[in-house]
Amino acid sequence: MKPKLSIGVCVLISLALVLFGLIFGTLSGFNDDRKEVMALLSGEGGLMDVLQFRGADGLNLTVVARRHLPAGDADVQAVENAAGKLREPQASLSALKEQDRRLAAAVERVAEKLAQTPSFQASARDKSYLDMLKADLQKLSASPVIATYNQAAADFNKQLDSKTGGALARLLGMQPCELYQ
Amino acid sequence: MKQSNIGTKRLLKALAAVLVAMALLIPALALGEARFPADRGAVTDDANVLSQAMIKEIGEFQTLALARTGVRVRVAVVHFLDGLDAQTYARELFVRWGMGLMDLLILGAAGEDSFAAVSGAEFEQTISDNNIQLLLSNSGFGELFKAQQYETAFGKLFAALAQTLGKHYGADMDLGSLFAAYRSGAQATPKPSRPNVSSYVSSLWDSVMDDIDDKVEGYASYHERRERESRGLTPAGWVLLFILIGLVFSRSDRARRGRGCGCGPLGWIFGLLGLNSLFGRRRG
Repeated sequence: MKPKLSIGVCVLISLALVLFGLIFGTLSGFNDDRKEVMALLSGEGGLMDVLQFRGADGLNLTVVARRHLPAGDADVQAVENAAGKLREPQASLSALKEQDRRLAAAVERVAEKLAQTPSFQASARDKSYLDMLKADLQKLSASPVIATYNQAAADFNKQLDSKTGGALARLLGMQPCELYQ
Repeated sequence: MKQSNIGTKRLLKALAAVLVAMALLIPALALGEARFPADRGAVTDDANVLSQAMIKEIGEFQTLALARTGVRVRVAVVHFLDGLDAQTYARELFVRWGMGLMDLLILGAAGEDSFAAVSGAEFEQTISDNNIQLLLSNSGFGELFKAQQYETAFGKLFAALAQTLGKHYGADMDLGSLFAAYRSGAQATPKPSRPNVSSYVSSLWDSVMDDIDDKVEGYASYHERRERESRGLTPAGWVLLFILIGLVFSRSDRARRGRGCGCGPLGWIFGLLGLNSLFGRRRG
């Protein structure tokens, strides 16, 4: 049988197919990994949900606080501002981390102020609500998804830094994942 | 020319559909930030402020109203509204629970001393939103709810609601012994209904934390599987690879005698390995 293509052309075709497979495989593999990391971040029950729930509990706390503290209290306002910013999905993780830190600090200050307010001390209901909200906030900030996300993002970035597949993936536009810190 | 006009029209229609979908999605995303309780029937008391007896009576009222008027009434009581106002939260909850045209939802937020009512379109044609607001006010529900007298608030509300439904739907809404202590002219003293303040635990927590735990477990399974896959070929895989390489070299001998270039089998090897990886990923 007479070959229809020269050997050189066959080799080139094979190399092209191998190159395609390599690029497709690299991108596909890294995309899958990145998708899993992003699911830990923005999927249901992910890190963003945890931050938004902390923001929601911060807002709930302002409702309780405003029953006892003067209108326009600066610390209550600080809780409200930080809680509102935590619920902005487009903010960077480092910005969200900063807002979370501010929320935690403002919540502590509000709790201290309430403890010194006679009307709050006389309200068993609001004392229980404050305890409930502080416990909720604590549980959320201790949530395993935060550490899991950071570990997953760090592992992904380490793979992306590797000299073989990672270098090719970076060349093809694959971006590292931002850590929540 | 005609074809390009049709193509442009289709493109514009598709673009308009995408823009409309995005406009609808934006408020939905904002509302999604609040936590909503799962539907637990006639009464979803996430704040744990109602007694079992009251919950049972409201359930019986729901059955009676549904049978006599076609109206389905539901009650939801939560601790807080996660930054939303009561009406917005109630509206979202109405949609999430798949409530219908003849349904009425009464929402109370015990920690915020606020409440709201949302009804379906057909119900509203018979009993307007204004009438419902008057009902909440005139029955004393509003004041009682803010004073944390939850049992009395709901008892009086449902007693008054029975009369309203009976009047507007021309139905016999005889309550029998339901809400007896709360009806006008009642002899019995309504039970005080301040909730037990040591029981302020939100059952929303269980579903929230379950979702978070599921997410972490889901990632752990994925990570384990990827670790296994990245360990390379199994022993069986290596044996198969050597067999295939052997085939390649034996076939390439024929190639030297002018029958093809011998790269065909290489294509088979890479193809099979690639397909295996592709199917393996899909199974995962």
